[in-house]
Amino acid sequence: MSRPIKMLPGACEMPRPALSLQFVAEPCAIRTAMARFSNWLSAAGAHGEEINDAQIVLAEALNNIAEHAYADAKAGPVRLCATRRGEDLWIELRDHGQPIPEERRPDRGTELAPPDPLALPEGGFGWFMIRQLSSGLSYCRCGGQNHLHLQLPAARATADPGAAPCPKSAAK
Amino acid sequence: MDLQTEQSDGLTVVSVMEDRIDAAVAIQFKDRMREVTAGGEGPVVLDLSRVTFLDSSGLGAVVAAMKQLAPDRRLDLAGLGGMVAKVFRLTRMDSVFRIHDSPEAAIAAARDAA
Repeated sequence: MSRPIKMLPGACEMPRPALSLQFVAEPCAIRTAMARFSNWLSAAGAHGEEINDAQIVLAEALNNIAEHAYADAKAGPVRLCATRRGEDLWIELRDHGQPIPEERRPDRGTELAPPDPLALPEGGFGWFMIRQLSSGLSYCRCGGQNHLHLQLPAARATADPGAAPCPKSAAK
Repeated sequence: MDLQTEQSDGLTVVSVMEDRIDAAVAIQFKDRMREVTAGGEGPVVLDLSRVTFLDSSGLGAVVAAMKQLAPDRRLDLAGLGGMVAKVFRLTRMDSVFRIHDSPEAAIAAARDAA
């Protein structure tokens, strides 16, 4: 169903990010960060579909941090870095929450099935949407932090997301 | 969470007057949907034409609202913009709702069926 997703090597640094924000992983701060991210992306020359997709991916990744990584504790900090490089948008998220459990890790090659619509699910869509819209993804647990790297094609074909060009190799 | 309701041709049209249904307001949305539809009857049409951003929490809240109304009342959707329509399409949740172009189209469809 979803197109193949390229797993990036476990890089933990984004050199010279164009956008760098730090905030607390709770819904209102996430909203503010999302607004700043969208303004930055728009100013960087992105258009409708790219901004929409990036917003979906970022919102789901941040909600995961708020709801899962910090599920058992007080909401903690998140650092968001983003840059547009060549034809791609790169996003890096770091948090100090719980690691993603092995069986839920999004960077494994196994297909994450979407919830069955007929079961009228009220959740479980997050990683599925992230993987549908990303062209590259990596996750590592480094120094007690979660590092999630996401890559989206900056100029995607709007008519058929399945036909979006595969991004060039994952530059560090 | 500002929801406005209007009765027309046996339908209750609930318009979301905000531009986002996200994790910050998902529970509020679900509760407000219960309040504004309480005691009524007939199908409900949720007008999302002002909503420009819906995440999976918002999607879950719309599904929860549908389940709150079932089995006696149906929840249809109307006015899905580009980003909102995409979330429904990606998750294939567009297959479990009747989706109308606009609230007016939903009312016209109800009139035709009557």
